Amino acid sequence: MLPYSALLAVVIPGFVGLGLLAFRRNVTDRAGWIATAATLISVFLMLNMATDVLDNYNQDQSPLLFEYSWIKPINVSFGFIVDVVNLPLGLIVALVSTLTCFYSIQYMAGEKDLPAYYASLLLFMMGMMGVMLSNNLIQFYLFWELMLIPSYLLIALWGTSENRLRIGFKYFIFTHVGALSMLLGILAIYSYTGTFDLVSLPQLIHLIPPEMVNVIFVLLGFGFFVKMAVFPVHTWLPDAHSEAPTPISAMLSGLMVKSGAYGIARVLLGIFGSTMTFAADFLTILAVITIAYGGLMALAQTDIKRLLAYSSISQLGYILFGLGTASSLGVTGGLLHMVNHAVSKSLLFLCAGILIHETKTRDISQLGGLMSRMPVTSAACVIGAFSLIGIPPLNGFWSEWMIFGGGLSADKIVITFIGVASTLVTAGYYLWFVWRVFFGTPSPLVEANNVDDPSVLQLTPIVILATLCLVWGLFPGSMLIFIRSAAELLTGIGG
Amino acid sequence: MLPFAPWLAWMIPCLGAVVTLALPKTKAQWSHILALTSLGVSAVFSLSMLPDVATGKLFEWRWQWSLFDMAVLIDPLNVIMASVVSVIGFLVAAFSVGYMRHEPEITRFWFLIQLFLGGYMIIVVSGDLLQTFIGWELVGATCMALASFWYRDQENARIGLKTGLLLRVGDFALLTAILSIYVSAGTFNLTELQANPEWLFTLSQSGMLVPAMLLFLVGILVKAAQFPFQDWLPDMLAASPSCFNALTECLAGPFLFARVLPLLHEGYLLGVGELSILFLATAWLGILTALLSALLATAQRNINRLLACSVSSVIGYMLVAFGVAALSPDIVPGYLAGTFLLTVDAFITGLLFLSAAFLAYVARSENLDQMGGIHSRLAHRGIEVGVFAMIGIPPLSGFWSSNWIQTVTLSLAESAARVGQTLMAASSYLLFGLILLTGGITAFYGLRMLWLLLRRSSTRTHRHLSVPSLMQRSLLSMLIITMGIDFLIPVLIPAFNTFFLPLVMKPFLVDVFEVSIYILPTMSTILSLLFCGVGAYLAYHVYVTQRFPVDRWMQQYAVLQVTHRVLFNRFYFDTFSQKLAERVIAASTLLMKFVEKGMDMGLNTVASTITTAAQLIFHGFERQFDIIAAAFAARVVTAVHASYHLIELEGLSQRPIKGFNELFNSLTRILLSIAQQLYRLFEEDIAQQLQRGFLTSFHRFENQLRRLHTGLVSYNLLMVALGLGLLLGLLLLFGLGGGG
Repeated sequence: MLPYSALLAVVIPGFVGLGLLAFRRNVTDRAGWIATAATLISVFLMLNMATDVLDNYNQDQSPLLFEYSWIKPINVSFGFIVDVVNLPLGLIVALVSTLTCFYSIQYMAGEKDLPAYYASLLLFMMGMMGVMLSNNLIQFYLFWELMLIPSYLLIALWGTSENRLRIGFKYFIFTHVGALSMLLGILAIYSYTGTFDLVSLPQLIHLIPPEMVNVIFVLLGFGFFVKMAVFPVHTWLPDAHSEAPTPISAMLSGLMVKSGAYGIARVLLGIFGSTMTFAADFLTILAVITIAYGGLMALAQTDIKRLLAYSSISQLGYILFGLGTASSLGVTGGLLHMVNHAVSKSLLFLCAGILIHETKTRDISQLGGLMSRMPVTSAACVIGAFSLIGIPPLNGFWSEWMIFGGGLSADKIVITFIGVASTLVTAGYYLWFVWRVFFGTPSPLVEANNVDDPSVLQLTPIVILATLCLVWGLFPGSMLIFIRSAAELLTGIGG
Repeated sequence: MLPFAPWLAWMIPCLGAVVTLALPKTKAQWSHILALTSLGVSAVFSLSMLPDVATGKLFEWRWQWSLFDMAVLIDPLNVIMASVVSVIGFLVAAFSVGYMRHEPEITRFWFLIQLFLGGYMIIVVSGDLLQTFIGWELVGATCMALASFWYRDQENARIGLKTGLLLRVGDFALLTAILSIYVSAGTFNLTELQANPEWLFTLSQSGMLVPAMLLFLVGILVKAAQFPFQDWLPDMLAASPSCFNALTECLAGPFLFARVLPLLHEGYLLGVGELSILFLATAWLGILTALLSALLATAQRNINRLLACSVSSVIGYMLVAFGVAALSPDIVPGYLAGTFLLTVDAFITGLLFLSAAFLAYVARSENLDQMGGIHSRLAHRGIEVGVFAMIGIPPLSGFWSSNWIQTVTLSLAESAARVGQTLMAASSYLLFGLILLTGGITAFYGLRMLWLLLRRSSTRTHRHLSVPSLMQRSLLSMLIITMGIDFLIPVLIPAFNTFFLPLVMKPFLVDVFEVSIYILPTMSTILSLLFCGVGAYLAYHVYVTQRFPVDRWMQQYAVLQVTHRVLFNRFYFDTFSQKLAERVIAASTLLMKFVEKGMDMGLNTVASTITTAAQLIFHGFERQFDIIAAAFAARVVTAVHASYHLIELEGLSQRPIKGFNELFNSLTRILLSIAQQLYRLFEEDIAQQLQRGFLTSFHRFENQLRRLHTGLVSYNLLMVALGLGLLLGLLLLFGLGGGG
């Protein structure tokens, strides 16, 4: 492992982003390539920690710690923790960011002020990496907010419609309120335990009076739920994800919403494990409502990106269900689904971007018969959709059965049956989507626009993602080797 | 056994599928050769396992794969099914080379076929439920894709979607059932599940056993195209390339049931009584499907739809056999009857489908009315053998297997009656009667198809046959194999039963004599021949001599016409599912319009209310501020005036000093006039102007600020208010209560 790996993996994209801003006049056309290179460095830095993380876990379940002194008087250090829980997530954040960045090179070509776009993208990525890898809660919060600002700018400045300012604003306020609630929770934790440190908190949790534990749990949970777009607080997501430029939609939907799920796993499950077990019924019910509601909404959409956005809500319901069961199998499934959904959903968004670019429409009813016109994109899109439906041997299958197996093993039988039944809606809207867009005779619009597969530059990211869907489906162990240990670690502390 | 046979048997077709994709599209020949090789090799590997099982070498072979245990089970059921599937698969592939020779997208066809067979082989060799499920899903997904193989046609695309969705229902049901088993047993492995039937009791205690097992049954029923989920099969087979239909994927359903049945039955014997619900449901849904599908088959015009109904019907028989077997005191006769039918039927159905595809290829139509009058001895013999075997003409297999099942049902009825279980006895007698009835209807539709296909047509010109030789040869091989099986049945049954001895552990009908004694001289045989004869008689007079003018009757009696229409449209299941889907979509659109938009609008209303309130407050405050300021200023001015009058003018003038007083007076007057001048100048002009100027600029600034911030402030206030409310609520709920 290289020294300072975690630190560099987080800050390199940020500094490169600032550099792009500073030299915006000099880099113009090369900004995309430079940004892709910076994100790629993060991927390699994450990869090079993999073996050490596993070795450390197998020795004594300890994480890799990178600490640098920061605010001494209140005992806060600046640092990163890398263990079996967040290594896969950090890796996937870096990887998908790299691919979307690369995809942007051609997709965004010709847009205004590209260096600033890439700078925002890199800062956004830095925020997500920081959230995933932070070793203390205050730093977690800071990166959480850092994630918000560039993403707001990306929606508001490069968004696709007239409404982008209003929608950006809605997004900002929603997530900000969530973040404030979370901040209250974090400060409350500090006031009782005197530390923000994620490593030592699980041992200090008895210092918090039991009544306050519930309050803190709800405050933090609310913050995470808003980010995850769980049912009653989800209305920002379809707007934001469908208005953002498509590569950014892929990052928002594939990655950013996972930070909420990561918060639930790391903080609620890892620290407040016993409360989580009590809350399990509530969480799983909320999750099933989210799954069904998001799915039904997706069924009603005619806009490709809104369909995918609602599908994200539904899929995050799956993740919440898995984590909410607080059982080893369910948490494994939930964590695995975070990775799988990141891959599949960003794949679908990137494909949708190509479709929109080529056909000049987002209306599903105007598309049709694209299979014969753009075979590669179609095949990739079908793989993504099948993966999220849960068809083996694609990756989504593994996480889905584990999630619902977890529900059964936590004795949540009725709710699991309902959950499984509502996955039919998922199959319904995806299959219908695939059939409407790709099968049948080419629609007049498709004929008129002379639609074709795009150039290699745009196909490369989707082919890589589709391959990942297949490879992680055929070799589920490659991810599970981390995630199964992670679930043991999290439920072990909680139990 | 060849090395790694049970693994390579399914891996090779899967690999073949992947490699097919890499082949250049222009060289169709290469993909033909690749597919034939991979499926042929798979068949060789599968067949090579037969001697091992015959000599009694049964074992389970596990392999750690990417943190999961994979397992293949080498036992009679798996091996015989693997051999059947892979041999038919190879023949179908050879047939398809000819059939699909003009297809431009042959690569996709071979990809799907090989993946399909790979998935099917996974199901039939697997010793692990999760692995079975993976194969199950692969088969389902490829079926869906094959139904939409000619996806440019809107109708085919729709059928693919429908197939996919209906199959998903079964898949999810099956997955839930498998997960329930996994959660209570901690393993997916069949051998472990068999060795330790504790899990059945765990499930039973948690009350999950019956729901889980019924879901399991739903999974099987969907895949096996049984009532009420049978509707995907006829459409799917009519839409997909006909040559593929001979690979009856539906047989995976009864196969999986046969695979799991011994486990369940053991639990049943150990005292998990609820399982009888599952067995009864299986038997009854089986016979219901057999009967209804046979009825549907009588009205179909498309040959693939007709054969699809017959597949459902035959699988119904198998499920009856399994259900009855599990309820019987001795599982062995019924279990063997079901598995035997499963094995033999794969060939009969395969032969029928291949012959039908052959005729359809020549006639360029799948409509029964247009397929008659084609002179092909090969296809006609295929149809004859298939139909006679299916309807139970004595020396052929159908006769033996259906009578076997009937005998098992009768013996269950008798044994139930003997111990006083009248309900069970009545149910079994009723089952027996319905099987007989189904036999009669089967004879009717089977012969209808036969005579419609074989009749001499005067209307159609005699076609010149130009069928690729590979098609002819593979059909011939299929015909020879099936005829061999069919005519050797009395010998094969003992061999089959001996082969299964290691699995069922109990010898049953192990020589020809026993078979004949068991089946020939029974009431069931006589009755079934009778019903068959009635069916045949009706069909003969309707379709050959045409002494029964059905068309005229239909015009005369509306009931007949309606019945025919209902049967032809397969009970309108298709319309029903279409309508259901439309309703769901309409409902979710409504949900979006009212709930989702409503949530958004509600939020906006709250925000705008707060904005208005804030504006009101600011306006009011501002006006008050103006009034107060003006009043204050007026007071100050009055006070100054009053004090001036009081002190300066009146107070000083009272002073009794002469001379000085005048001076002072004049001075005062001067000062006063100066002050008045100054006052006028300063107070009235400059100060008021200043004040006015300040006020206007303040207003302007404030308006600017308000315009900028109206949204922001109100949103923030909304959120802060919400946050405060939430916090307050929480504190009230938990904080105060606990604090005291």
